[in-house]
Amino acid sequence: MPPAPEGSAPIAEDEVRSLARLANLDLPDAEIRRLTGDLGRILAYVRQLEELDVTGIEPTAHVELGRAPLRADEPHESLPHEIALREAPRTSMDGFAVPGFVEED
Amino acid sequence: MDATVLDRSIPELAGLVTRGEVSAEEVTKACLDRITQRDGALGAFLTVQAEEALQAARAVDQKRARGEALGPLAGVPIGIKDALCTRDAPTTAGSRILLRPPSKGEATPDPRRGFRPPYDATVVARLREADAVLVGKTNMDEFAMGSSNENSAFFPAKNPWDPSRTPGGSSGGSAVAVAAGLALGALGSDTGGSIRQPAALTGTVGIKPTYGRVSRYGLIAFASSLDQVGPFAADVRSAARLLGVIAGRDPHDQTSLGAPVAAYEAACGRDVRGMRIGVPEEYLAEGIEPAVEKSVREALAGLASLGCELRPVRLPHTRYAVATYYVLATAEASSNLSRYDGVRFGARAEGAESLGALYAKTRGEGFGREVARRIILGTYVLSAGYYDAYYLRAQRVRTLIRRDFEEAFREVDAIAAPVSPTVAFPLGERVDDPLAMYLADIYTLPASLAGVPALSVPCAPTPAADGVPSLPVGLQLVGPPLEEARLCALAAAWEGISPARGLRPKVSEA
Repeated sequence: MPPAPEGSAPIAEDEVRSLARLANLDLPDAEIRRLTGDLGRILAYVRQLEELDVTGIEPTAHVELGRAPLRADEPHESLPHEIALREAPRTSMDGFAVPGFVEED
Repeated sequence: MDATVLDRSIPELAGLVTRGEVSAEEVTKACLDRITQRDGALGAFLTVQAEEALQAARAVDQKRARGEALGPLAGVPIGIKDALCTRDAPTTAGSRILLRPPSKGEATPDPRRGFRPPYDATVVARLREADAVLVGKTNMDEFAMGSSNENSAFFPAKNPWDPSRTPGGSSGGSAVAVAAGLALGALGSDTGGSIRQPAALTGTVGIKPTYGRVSRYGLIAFASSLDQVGPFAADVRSAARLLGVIAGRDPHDQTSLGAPVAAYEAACGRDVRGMRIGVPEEYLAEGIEPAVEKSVREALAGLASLGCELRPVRLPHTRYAVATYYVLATAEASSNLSRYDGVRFGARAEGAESLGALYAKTRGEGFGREVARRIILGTYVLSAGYYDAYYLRAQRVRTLIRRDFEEAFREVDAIAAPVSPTVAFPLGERVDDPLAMYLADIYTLPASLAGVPALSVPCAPTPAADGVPSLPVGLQLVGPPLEEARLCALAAAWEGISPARGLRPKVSEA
């Protein structure tokens, strides 16, 4: 198992804060600081991928052994309305209830 | 009826039920009693569906009484990883974010409040059709992210060989349920080793099938290009029977493969003489515990004694597997986990005054530390400016790792290697060091990235020494795509002469 490299953290606290915002994660400052340290160490390790010459190598997004045929495009039953709403933490007027968002920037 | 019926193999027990020598109801009652007696100290199950299990068992007995043919899992108690949807039964993926709001005064999160899916995962439906009895939902690392089960939002599962140690993860509860005799089989999911590693650490058999061999419909997604459902059991034949039931094309999963399902169980017992077994020296290099290496090398010698031919093979990109995996899997996870937003199901934060705040607060409160860490890492590697440097590069390295296997399988029929560089480690040992936790996945990640089948079968446990008890070790067998039957044949042949054969942990009863 290759050892974890030592090195300076390649990510700053502010960057982690903005990533958390992008990912819709409201985290306390102490957690952001801790994550900054963790991510710095993980990214320093991940950088070993830079050692490899990958010019001309096709990326693998998905290992596909064979393409399955597409299903027929036919209408079929979907989840009944009341079942789809059953697990919602809040419902209103036969729909999912959310706070207002029209005013948001 | 004697409770030791629960220590039989799956084919034996299904035979007893089919012939009417025991009733499914008796078996289920004995199983539920055992869970009550043993699981308090182990934490294998998040929830137990006792009533539903007894009903299912009675239905099997009635079916038999009517003279109908019974399925291949007649009356067999099975545990289901809580990442798999079970109709109307709580499903949490080990996370608080899938819990309905608590009743007032509830202090600790209770998995019984978990999301109640409106449908069964395809693998769950197939088990029911085969007349299995589903006894409960097993513990796991939150969203299958972890290698020790300590990332469960509820409680860690404990290793029955030494309850101060982890059973591994993320399918730790499934492994413990089988190792401790709380179920004869269990389903898990494996994204980077989450079936094979806990199987190795608990002395059970665990199979990660070829990517696409088993439907993912109803499996709560972690990393969709890697996730695969597979079985745990106490022996190879039992695991093979389970795999035969769950494998095959599913119209609900476009990535599931239409290739015919092989006769996995019949392959157990097949002659393995002349099979060429590749031994990757990269896997037996630095970082492996000497006692683990010794046990794996003994197993290799065992395969040679069965007439297999051992050959060195090279998998030169193995050392990049951890970095590749933790870029690709976190990228996919950051996308898959965006659906947990407090609106359609699960938890919802109180007091959010805007939609954006509702999302952020619900997710900030609902996800545990490791999940948040991976979502942020995945968001980073996918973000503008870093996409090419991390995500795209990792996808290209994934191609190199696949090619390693393609080239190796031109020379050999299967590859034999360790599963984990260490035996089960003490609870708490790696929780504060995520990188150390990731590095221990080095032997299981390459097969996941390549999409090829792999399994773990017990080899000789380590000798007790210095106050550390004897602990299980797994031998990993990796095969070319869709060659699960070949792996079953090899594993069963080794099992027949393995010093681990029939070993069970001594489990204390409350």
